[in-house]
Amino acid sequence: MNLLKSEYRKLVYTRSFYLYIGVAIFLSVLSTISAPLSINALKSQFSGSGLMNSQLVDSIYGKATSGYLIAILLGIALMGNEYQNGQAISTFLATPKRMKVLYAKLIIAAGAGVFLMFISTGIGLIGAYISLKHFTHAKPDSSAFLNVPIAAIVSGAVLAIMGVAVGALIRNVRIASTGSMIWLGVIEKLIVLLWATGGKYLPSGLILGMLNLHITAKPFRKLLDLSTANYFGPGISITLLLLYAAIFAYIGSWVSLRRDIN
Amino acid sequence: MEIGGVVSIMEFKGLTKAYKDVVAVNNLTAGIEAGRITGFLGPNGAGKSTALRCLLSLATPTSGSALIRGASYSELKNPLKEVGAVIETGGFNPTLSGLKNLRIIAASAGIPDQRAIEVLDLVDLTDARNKKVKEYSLGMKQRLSLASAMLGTPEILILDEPANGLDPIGIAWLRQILKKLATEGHTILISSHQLAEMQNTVDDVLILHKGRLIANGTIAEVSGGSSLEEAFIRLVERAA
Repeated sequence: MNLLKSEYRKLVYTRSFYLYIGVAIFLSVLSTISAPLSINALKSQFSGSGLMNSQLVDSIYGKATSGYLIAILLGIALMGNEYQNGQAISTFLATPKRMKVLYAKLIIAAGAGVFLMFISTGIGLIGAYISLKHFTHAKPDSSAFLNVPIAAIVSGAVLAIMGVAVGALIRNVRIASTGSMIWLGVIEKLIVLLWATGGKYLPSGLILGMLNLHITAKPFRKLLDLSTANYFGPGISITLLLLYAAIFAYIGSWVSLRRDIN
Repeated sequence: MEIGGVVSIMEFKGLTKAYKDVVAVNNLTAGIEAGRITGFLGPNGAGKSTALRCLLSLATPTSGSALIRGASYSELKNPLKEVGAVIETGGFNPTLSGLKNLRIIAASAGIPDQRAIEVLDLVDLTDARNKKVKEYSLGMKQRLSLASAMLGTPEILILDEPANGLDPIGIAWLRQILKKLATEGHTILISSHQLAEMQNTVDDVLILHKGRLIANGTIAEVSGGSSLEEAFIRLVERAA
């Protein structure tokens, strides 16, 4: 409990935590506000008839989860700052059992990730609602209001845990953050383009899977990540994401236990 | 551990720490007596910090062990309440105030927040407690490190180069506070490469050179009537 309190203080005392929340809100709102306009403009590329298709409307509400990119940065900062500032020394002097520190950090990171996603997704959903008011025929499926919050919570926790593990591995916040953004924002998109069926196994594919969207886009639109017809359903997506979190947490703890603190 | 009636509260037992081809500490065996100030001396790169990091479980020995009250630091039940440590590089978040940094550390050991204010007062940092650590001078950071070491009111203090960056007034202040802590019964292990300064502060010395222990005893035994600096040069020449 003491350790959790200490890790919680590390989180809430730092300004970057609030900055991350602000950026996540900005990304979510930007995505949900811009998505109806782009989907409407590109409606000929989709099966169905643009925003008359409830799956596409659901995907706009799903864009409210765009803050997950920031959840991984939050996890990286939580762990990476320990090493970058030399704070790891006082942390491990106070609690030399490093596994305990890592568990506390993972719990706080998961909680912070969920909180970040809860706030940003909530505001993003409001953004989606407001932007879709201009398209009177755009009606979401009622399941979207269950799937989106679940996707937000699971992705927030999992991505923040993955961030802690990446921070433990790389130790340099800037390199780890840039690498993660390149992975999630560029490499995953390339994998989807070159090997479409592989996309559903990737974190962003699994987050889309949790939204239970079945959208078919014409092939040249795959770069936009809009073709989700073959993605896993919410159950398998959640299971796989939690498995990723467990694997990353294990790697993070394994590395932390074996390294000297300099 | 008791050897010949002398109580060793900390001990190095054949401690060796190697990094790839470099042996930083080579088969170090020595004990530190309770209730005394022991200087852990030697030039930069002698292996002092590495040995202390092994003692504090921040680094894993290649072989041998470094023990506090017969156990490794990582096995202590409430380490902050038993051992206070100052490590050369600090260990604070520079974007947070001194007080917030101490509150984070205090929370991890279940120490009340009020104690953070008390120790900041002990090291004369009350006025700067809400200032960000990145705005502290090197001397203020050293004081903050000492404050964090005293958070848990430990019996043992391990200080790695605490005089680094201190001006003459700061050094005099440090000497005074160390003497005060020693009279209160604390055991202090203090590493330094400033031999002249340590001569006025410590009771016992361990001298390390190129990772090896070259002298161990009371300051009178080791210096043999000369200054500690002269004794050190003599010992190094003999060891070469």
